[in-house]
Amino acid sequence: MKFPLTQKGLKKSQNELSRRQLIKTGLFGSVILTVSSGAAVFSPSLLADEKLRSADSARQSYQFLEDKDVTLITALLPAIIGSNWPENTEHQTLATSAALISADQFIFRLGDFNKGEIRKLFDLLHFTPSRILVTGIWAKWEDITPAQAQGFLQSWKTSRFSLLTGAHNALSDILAFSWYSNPKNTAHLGYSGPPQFVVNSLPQFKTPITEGDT
Amino acid sequence: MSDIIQNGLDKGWKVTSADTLEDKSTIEADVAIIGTGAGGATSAEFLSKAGFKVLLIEEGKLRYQKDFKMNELEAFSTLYQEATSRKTSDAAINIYQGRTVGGSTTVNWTSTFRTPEKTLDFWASEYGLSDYTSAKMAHWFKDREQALNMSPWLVPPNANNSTLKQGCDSLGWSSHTMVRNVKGCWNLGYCGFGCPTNAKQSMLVTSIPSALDNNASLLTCARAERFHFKGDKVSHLECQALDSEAFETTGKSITVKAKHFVLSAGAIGSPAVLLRSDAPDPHNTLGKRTFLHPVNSCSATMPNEIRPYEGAPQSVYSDQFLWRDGVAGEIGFKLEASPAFPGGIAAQEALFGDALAKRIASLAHTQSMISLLRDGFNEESPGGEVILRSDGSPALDYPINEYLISGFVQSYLAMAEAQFAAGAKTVTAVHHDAKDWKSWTEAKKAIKELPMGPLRAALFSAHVMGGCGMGSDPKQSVVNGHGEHHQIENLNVIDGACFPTSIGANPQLSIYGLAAKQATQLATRLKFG
Repeated sequence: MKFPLTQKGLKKSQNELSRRQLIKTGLFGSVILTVSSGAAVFSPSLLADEKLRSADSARQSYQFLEDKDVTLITALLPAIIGSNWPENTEHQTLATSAALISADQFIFRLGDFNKGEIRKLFDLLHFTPSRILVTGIWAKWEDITPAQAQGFLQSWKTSRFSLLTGAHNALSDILAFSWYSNPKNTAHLGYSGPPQFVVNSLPQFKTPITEGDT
Repeated sequence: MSDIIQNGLDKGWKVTSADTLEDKSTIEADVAIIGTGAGGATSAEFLSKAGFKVLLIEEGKLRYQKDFKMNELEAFSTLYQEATSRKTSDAAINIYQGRTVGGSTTVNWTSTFRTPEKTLDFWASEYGLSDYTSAKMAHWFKDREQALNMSPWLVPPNANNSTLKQGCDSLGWSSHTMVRNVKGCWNLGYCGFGCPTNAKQSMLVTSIPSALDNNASLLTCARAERFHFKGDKVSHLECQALDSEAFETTGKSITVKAKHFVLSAGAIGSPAVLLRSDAPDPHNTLGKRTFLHPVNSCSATMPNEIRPYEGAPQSVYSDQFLWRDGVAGEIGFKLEASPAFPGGIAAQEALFGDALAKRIASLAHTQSMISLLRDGFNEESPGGEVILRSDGSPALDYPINEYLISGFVQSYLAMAEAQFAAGAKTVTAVHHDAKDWKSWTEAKKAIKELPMGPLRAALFSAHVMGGCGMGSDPKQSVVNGHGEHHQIENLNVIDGACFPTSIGANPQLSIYGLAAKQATQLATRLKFG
């Protein structure tokens, strides 16, 4: 899988939606969404992919993410991270695994209502007809380029439908937060987490303290 | 280094996590207080000191120093409502509220102000709150300032804050040093992650330990679901037990019986409990007039290193524009600096790809300025309304109208002007359609042309106020000046939820002062009838 970062000229019209189409799709909460959540497709190509082995092994511990979400997030991350995407493939794999674990933890803690909204958004992006309609992308997630992903994210961001802008905000916020909240991903950019002298002197960074709040 | 919470637990404080209780357990107390933030914890301290058997009920878990590891993901996802993703119903304004023992005081930035005199005068004239003049409140503010070690920050401000001061100075605008509630502060800058050194004098390390020392009990991981009424009194409160991490419900319910109830669940949570309870609301005031101090922001790239993630997050402010058109005219705004960490930038600014990569890569040189709009003082600023979603969880409808938009535009202009005056190389508004502007002239023109339709500007709020507003006239309020519910005899709301308008300053001391006053009055009433 290659992640060329050059922005290819994706036609804007490719991603534009008519109001009628949007109503038909009924973004967030429609028959299509109900149908799609029952039509989960496990992607065998994911397992076959050498680079994603470690992401896959972490899957067992996911509290929210399903296999198809892992495929989706893995496909979108290079687009979200842009020029900060690591060049080294091993770094890409490790950082992707860490971001998946963070995204899973973060979404799981959003509370029931938000979890439901994210599930609807993911399902919308998994179900082929609705995915094509809202993103203009015909390829499967595992086959898209970052340029394609950036193209649809950008079209959502500038959409005249605030629902799509909101979906862009939710998706980019969660994925970007999952990446950039990890100091390992920002150390070379100037922020490497709390100062070492603090870590060395505070008790919470030393031996585990017994739980006492019962 | 000894930790006050760990020591208290070791010596036998009565702290129980709801997940350890049997389904349908009953707990009894003289006074049950819902919420452990500024309002609830202060009330608990005063009422337990007066000899009442107090029960504090908290939705979040008891997290304290051992848990505060200065990590963005961990802090954001465990200490805040909806893991910092709470938003107004149209998703336009991101809302940061604490959801942990100590409430928002555990995660606030320690900025301390007495309620402005102009605000209190407005309350007296518009809401009949003649007990809330500056002169009458001075006693309560002073009491809390001493108790919580509130004093001006004498350490030099970090670069993020000194840039704000420099901008104001060179334009001839007023600016001042912030008062902070800290004791032995290490000047690290991680206040919003839960203070790692216990220096912040939040409710977690002050009033809550005091109350627990006075024999109060604390029930954590318990969500107040609804009151049940008998006549015009609350007979009992029904709570849902959450799991031991306070992330999900367990299906177990807990009954709380008390002679008196105090609702201190914040300005979204407090109206929500009353709405779920079908509480009397004869004048349709419940949940209305909920205010946010809506915040917009500008980011500047400075020639020097700023490192906005280091040092006391807020130590300088400017009120140059707070009353720019009088108290009730065009909306005024307060200027402050905002700490900035990579994850927070990523989550707040709705950028992605190269644009976000560039923002993060230049973070060390970024000065982050914010403006807090003073909402609720003009008929064009009625605030928002707390409503319930189908699952009973609360949402806040907060429409953004032309009145607010003109305030955002004016404050973008002020922030950009101050940043260029302080020597910024480029300035941008935190807005979907803003570019990096290279001069004040360019910024001025561009800001006036910024589209301000739905979701274009990145907006947030860390100050939710109102929703159970107080006033002497039941037709325009939910509680009276004592915080007593107009229709329910044994229920007080003691909280920022009582404010009839926004404050016009970071509200923690306004809540502490109000709670100290109201809880003292309540103790007298419960003792002597």
